[in-house]
Amino acid sequence: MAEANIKIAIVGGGCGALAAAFELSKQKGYEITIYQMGWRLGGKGASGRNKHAGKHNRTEEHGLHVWMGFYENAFRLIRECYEALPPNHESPFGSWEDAFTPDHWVGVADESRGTWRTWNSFFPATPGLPGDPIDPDTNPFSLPSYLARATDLLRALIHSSFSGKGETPQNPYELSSVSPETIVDKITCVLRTGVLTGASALYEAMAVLGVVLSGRFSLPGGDYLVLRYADAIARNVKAQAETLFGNDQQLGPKLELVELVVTVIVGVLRDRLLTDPDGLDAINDEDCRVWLRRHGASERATNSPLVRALYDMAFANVKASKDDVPGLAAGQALRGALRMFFTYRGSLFWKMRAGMGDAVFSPLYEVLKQRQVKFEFFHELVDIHTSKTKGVRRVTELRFHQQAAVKGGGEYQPLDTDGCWPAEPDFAQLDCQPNGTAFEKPGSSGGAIKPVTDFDCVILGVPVGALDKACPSLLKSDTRWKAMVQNLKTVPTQALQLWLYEGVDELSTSPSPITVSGFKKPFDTWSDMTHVLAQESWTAASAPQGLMYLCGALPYVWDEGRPQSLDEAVSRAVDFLDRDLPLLLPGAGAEGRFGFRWELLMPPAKPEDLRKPLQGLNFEKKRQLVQGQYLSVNVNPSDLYVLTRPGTMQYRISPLDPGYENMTVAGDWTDCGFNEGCVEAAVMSGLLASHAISQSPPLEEIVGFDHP
Amino acid sequence: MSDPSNRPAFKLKTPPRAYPLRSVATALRRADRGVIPKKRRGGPLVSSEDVVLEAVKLGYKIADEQILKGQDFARKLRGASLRTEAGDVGSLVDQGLRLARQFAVLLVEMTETTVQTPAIVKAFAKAVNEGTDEKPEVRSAPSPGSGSRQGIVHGIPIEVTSSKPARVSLALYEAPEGLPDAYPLYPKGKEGAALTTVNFEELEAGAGFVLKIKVAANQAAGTYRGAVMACEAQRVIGSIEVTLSE
Repeated sequence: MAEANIKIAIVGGGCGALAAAFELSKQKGYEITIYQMGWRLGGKGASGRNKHAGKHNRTEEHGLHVWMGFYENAFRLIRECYEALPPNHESPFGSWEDAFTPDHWVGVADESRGTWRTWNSFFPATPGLPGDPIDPDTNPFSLPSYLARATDLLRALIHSSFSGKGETPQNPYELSSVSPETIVDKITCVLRTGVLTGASALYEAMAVLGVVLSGRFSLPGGDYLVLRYADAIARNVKAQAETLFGNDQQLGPKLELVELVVTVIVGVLRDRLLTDPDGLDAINDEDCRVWLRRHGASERATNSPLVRALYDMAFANVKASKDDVPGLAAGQALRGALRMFFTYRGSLFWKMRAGMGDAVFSPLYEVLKQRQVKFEFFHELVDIHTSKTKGVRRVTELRFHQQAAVKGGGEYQPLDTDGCWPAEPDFAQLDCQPNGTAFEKPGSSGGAIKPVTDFDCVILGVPVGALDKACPSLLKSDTRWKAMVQNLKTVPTQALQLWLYEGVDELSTSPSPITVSGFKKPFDTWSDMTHVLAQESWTAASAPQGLMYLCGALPYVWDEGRPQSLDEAVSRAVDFLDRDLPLLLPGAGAEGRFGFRWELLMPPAKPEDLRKPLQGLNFEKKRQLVQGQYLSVNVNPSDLYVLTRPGTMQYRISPLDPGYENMTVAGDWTDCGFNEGCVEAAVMSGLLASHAISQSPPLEEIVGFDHP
Repeated sequence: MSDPSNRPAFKLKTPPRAYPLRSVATALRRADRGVIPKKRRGGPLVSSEDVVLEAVKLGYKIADEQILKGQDFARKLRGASLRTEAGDVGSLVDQGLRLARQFAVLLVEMTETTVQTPAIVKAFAKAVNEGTDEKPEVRSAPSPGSGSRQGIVHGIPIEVTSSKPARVSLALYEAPEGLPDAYPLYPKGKEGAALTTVNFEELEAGAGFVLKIKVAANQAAGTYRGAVMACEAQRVIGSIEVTLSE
């Protein structure tokens, strides 16, 4: 008699949960059901099309989602997914190449003497594509590759010293007709840059050499020659660099980069991380800035725009509670930076050509459906019952709040006729009154409690910020889980999408497209997402020319112990657009008058306002214009971004953890080998969850899991 | 739960390990997913001299590229200077280029000199020759239970000779094939002399091995930490931590 299938209940529909479903559904013997709160998959990556009149089917997202070129596991997953799409698929894209577009530029915002500017860097294309099988020619972890990347970095730095807006990176040395003074300036600049970047690249080479020299053994007699050597060079170069370039603002960021690279090498050697069994994890109890200072980095380098941008990308510069101290675990910060800059393939960044829902979760939904995976939408987890016998814990029951029932009892069909996720549920299919997007707020809709026991194993893919409401009984009975929920900090975030009458490249002095971080709060990061417009339904006559995403942590109202409301966030956004954005995007500032060019926002309040400068708007009018754009305040527990605070790694629970005999976990909040909130971490956790159940994929196939 | 009476309750598989391997040496080899032949572009590096030569060669390549770019730039500048009649630009370029070249080459030569230090070369020879061992990795059967990083191999005797109170922690993540190798223990978080008399010795045939640690009388108090390596495969399989108090 054939053995019965193993029934897997997956709770949650984010990247981690769906990665686990994708891996398990490739194998025989599993019967999978995914329980999802609300009407759409995606978790923090969910997006929706606005179907309301006058909104032009525009894409509305939880935040700015850019995939990095080192997301090997995530790209492998999505590429396999597109390969598996049926010919008659509904998804808007037919291949991953159509769904993603490379972005080679990255910018770091910097303030000097009251003036903001963006340091733009071009990161050249590298061999291979993320998710490619790793062979000797494209292995980003190999010695030749690390050295080649150092050379590329050198080229990129040289180029970025000369290129202005619109110059092509391939020909950085072309000179136009210039004055003798300019020539002398440029010579001085190139020579200084040459020395610095040459030194920087050599340090990178030496770092790799250090790996070869020191990774496998300690030197005889404890005579740590390599450390002494690196230390001596660090002192020598820092002294020379300070003397030669100390007051040169043009070279400031590069000097800081060199200093940071040298400091990291010295720190890695001094802390003996190359032979430490925990690798970089050994310094995760220390904040990255504190660690850099401890190893000699100057205050200037420690607080440089580059470091600030790395913190901003992980929302690490903000407090999660009144008594919280901002910080980023040093080991994970270094691992993230190394992976980001030295193991990317194809492009440093990859942007989606539509919302992440349409580019990623539509095809995943279709392929999983094709593989007979069942979806139970409108199921909000409210508790998990467990048993403990002779020290062995098991999950015995999942309790869901059934938010809505499908008319006639069938399965909810979540995609619209274009194969996209709508921004609101299709209430025509549901036996309930329309309530907008309330299904994504816990406990906000009526409905019965539905106990589920028909499973053999559970994959819990609910984010850590939502666990106290999703499994109170489990937290009460299990001190480890309780400690995890108490110690892993999360922050609410916000995202603002601006549809603009002029192109972002016309407003900015940066090359386009670009992603810039390190700017003023509350929107410290912005990205040119104009390419997404092609997927929306604007008429040619009134089509926007630019689309800009801004994001950052949502500020707290500390006295009241709550994050800002949507209403407060709109007012803050008005201030930001008027006061701050023109500092970085001069074209967005009103000529000869204070503030933002409000006429840039599309669609105009009245059609006849198109192209007319709007002057003398009062605050309320400005608020209305911002409300006409899309501002998402991500305060729902499942939306909260998990932080990588120093000293908190030990509280994370691994998908491989045997604490429950029939339950594993998935999500970027788990101990998954790359413990920083991002798509790649979530996918790695999903692969690990699949491994815990089926031993597939092998751990060695999860790229980067074993990275130092 | 489904069909509880018809079949045994489902249990998650016990993974071979429950944590990532963070060793630098293993990571560079493991990233190939184990499905790609273990060849390297340009051929494998088979000796310590090869490693040194390759590293220095690449260093020079970077320096050369830097210089070539500078020369290319200088040619264009000279052309520009003639057009703009800025006669002193050429000599400034030459002077600057010489400086850049000297600086870049100096760094390479420092690297070369250092890596050719006899003590380092001797150590390379051991590491590199062992690192090219292409034997398949043999894993011991995992122990059930613990998924934490406390180590899965237990019951190894430890002998400590010390005039100071000492607390020793030995964590092995997998059972080694043969006698493991203990590396010197370095003071954690500060400079200082390492604890070097640390080694594993075999007990009677088939009776396993013992960890022996001898602490010199003048060894400073503090916490010392070091790696345990599998002799055959040259990968980190555990760690030793010794805390000495006054």
